[in-house]
Amino acid sequence: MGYFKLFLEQLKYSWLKKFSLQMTTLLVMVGSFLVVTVTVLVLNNINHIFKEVSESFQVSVYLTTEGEKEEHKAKIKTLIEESKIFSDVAYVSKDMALQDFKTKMAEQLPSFVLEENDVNPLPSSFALKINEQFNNKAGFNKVGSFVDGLLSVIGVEDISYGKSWVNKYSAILASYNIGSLAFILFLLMSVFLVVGNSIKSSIAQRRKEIEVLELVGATRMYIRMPFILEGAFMGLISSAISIGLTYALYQSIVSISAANNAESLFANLNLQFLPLHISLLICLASSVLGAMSAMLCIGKMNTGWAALSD
Amino acid sequence: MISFKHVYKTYPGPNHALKDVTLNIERGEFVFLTGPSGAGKTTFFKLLSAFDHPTSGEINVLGDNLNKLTNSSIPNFRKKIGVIYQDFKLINDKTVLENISLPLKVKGFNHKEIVSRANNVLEQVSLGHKANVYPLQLSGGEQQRVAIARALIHQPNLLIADEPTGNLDPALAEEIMTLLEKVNAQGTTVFVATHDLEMVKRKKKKHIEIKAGVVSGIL
Repeated sequence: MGYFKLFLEQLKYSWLKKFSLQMTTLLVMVGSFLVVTVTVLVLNNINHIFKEVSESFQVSVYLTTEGEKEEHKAKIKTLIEESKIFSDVAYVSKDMALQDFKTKMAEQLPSFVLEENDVNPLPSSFALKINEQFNNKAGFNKVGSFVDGLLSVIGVEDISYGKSWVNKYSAILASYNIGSLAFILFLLMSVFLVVGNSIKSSIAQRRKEIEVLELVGATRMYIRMPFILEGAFMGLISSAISIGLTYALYQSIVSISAANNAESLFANLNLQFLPLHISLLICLASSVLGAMSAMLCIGKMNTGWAALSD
Repeated sequence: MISFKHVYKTYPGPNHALKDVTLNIERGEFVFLTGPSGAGKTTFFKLLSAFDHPTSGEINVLGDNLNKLTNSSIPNFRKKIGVIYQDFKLINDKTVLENISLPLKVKGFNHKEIVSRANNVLEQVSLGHKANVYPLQLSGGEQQRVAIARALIHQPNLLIADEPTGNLDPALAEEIMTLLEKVNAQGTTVFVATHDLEMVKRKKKKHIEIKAGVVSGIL
């Protein structure tokens, strides 16, 4: 509580007496965090689009006439369910398959849709959706192995799951994850340096004050804590402002997209803003980053022997 | 109260700033330390106020063995002494009241007690009417009196001053010395490093003379 009171006093003092320096520091930090939040927003949306694509990805297990018999059908279904790879296992009968085909072809082949078909050439099948936890390279390998094994089961004629697409998708996903991580790490390091330098200049302005505090017997913690709390505070405020600015940017893109629906690049993308937990995480991480930067900078200056440096 | 036993201080070079200094200062004494520039006065001052360590020998001040002070125990020692510098070391964007309050804030005193003690000590140094002005609005003598008030507010047993009149004209220097004598009369031990031999002769106090790092006389 004592340190918090000191921090509030120092904060009030800093903003009243050193307004331009504080404002410059805040602007630099807001700019830095804005780059981070916009990047996280873009990555989050790319991830979201990937997720939507993977959710629409479906495996079809086509059955032979033999496979349509209840005992084989039940055995195949049990094997699929026991694998726990798939979240949704739906049986599509020959009639349902034909009906679905007619619905899809209504525009292209209206005469065929109206025709009463005596012969239904379409096989019955199981339509499967892959569990979310298998939407990665290792998961797709498991899907491939399972499918290869299932092909030898009596009653299974063929399985369609787009092996080449799966391989490409898993490679893209892996590269994307590594790239994202590296980029975010690079950005965080840059922000750390920017924030550190801003706080360093703020501390340098108060060097004489630190020296006097040492002279009158202030402990290192007494001198450091207000700076550390100020660093955390600046990190929190600047990240909150940058999230607000990112939201404004996002809203303007959504508005433009809605106003120019046909032409807009974003019209078909289901864009979403950062979820609350990610926004809070950014604020928390920024506070920690600000505090750590301040801690490192003040550590070099407040050695207890500032008065000797003249 | 203060004892130096065979104290040496050597800087890289090697440069012997102090050589085999042994002396004692009793409680309530007023002591001048004199010597030409480079004689070792500032080194002596830094060792006495725990702003530097001796190379060898033993220093005891107010019951603390300064050789054994750790970084974490130094602030506690400094809270027991008052220090005055030639360049005042005031924070220019804090008011006089805020400047002199610092030692008490560091000690955790409440606001009411701080204001009460600050006003008392400002009256002592005849600056009661300047509590809310900034250091740069004051004359050199007034700034030094603020520095003295800051050094006295926590009622230290020992007041150490390094060339407290070095930046002041003779009239102001006399004014500051009179003030330090007043503080000494109230029981505080006062130790003043100075090069102003004329004033030292006038005041007729204990006088330690140092030359080339060696104590050449105690008068």
